[in-house]
Amino acid sequence: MGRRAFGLAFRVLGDGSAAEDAVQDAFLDLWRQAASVDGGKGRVDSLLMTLVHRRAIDALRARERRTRISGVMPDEAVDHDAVELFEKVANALTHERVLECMESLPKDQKHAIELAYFGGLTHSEIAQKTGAPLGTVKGRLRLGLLRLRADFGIEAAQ
Amino acid sequence: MKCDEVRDLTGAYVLGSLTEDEIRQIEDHVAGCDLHAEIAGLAAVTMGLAAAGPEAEPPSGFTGLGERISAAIRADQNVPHREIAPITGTPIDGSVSPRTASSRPESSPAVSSRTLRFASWPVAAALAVALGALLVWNVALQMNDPGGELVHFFREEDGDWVRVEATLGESNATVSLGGFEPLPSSRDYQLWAVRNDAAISLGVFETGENGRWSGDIDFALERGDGIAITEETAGGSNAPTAEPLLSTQL
Repeated sequence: MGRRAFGLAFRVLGDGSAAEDAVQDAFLDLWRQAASVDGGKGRVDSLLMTLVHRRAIDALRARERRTRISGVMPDEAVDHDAVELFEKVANALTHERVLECMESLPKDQKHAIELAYFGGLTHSEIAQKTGAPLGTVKGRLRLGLLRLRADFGIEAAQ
Repeated sequence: MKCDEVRDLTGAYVLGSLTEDEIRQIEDHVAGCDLHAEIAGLAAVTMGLAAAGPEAEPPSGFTGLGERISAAIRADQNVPHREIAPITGTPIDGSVSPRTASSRPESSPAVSSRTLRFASWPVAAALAVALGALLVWNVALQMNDPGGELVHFFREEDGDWVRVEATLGESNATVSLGGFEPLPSSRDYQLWAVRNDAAISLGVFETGENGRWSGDIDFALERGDGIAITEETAGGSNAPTAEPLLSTQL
């Protein structure tokens, strides 16, 4: 988990020292939220990776002097339904499997998701960067994720 | 925002690619809409995307980063820290024959009741969960409260861990541990308390298929005592005969 956490921060930030800071901040966040976390190791791992991603994106945006944009989840909460869905497939989602699924996406969808998830770009910024209309970018992000949801084996929530 | 407009933005929403204003509008809408199910599924996908990053080693190494994190957590919560002492024990009078600690599943009522007691101590609960995530690093952290209750967690880099919940000075402690593979019938794990360089047998135990064990210990632990685990012949030994598989100091 340590390698994955650091690897994710490094992928986003491209800088070892900044990635260490992001991982440390994520652990502190986890520590502060831990009393409200209900579940075992798998749940904690999922939450930790979410926090590492959020911290890394925050750091990236701050570094690039871009306006901070709220992350997916409020600082003090986690989407427990999402964590529950993810826990069911987490063991099967190896690094290789995730890359394989990403590679199977249409190039435009893959690129849009990478720019958003690892690059921290907003949908407007992605539209600017790629020259695609905003509506097209929204569609690429959603359709790409829907396809990944199927490829990852994540069941639709009830 | 209409339902169709919100649906178009669910991907950008879970990827954190919306403005705060857009997020607020979506969350207001979703509160009364079944789109929450789609959002939960897509948010689960983003958790999987985390695995697309490379596995990498930090510049200061995992030990260095782990120490930074431990120090930051201690500073955040004023958690006292003690260095880990090696076990260098001999048996003391009255503990020549090892007592056999009761072995039972972790979810047994006795453990649950203690856990509930500590659950009213939020920081202790936080300690247990947060430290469980420090999967790579060698970590020893401890919480004490003024009433003498102590929660100590130690995890070695190889994955062995022990958690001690005790009321100091009272013969009342629960030890939980994991990462110890089941042994053949000719061998047992043995749990020791180490005080003033003397090793006191707390009993032998067998782990389950998951490598875990939990039990109550009839011994009055004190601050500064060591806890150690060795592998011994079945039934236990009068004194440790091998290097400890794990040792930590309260």
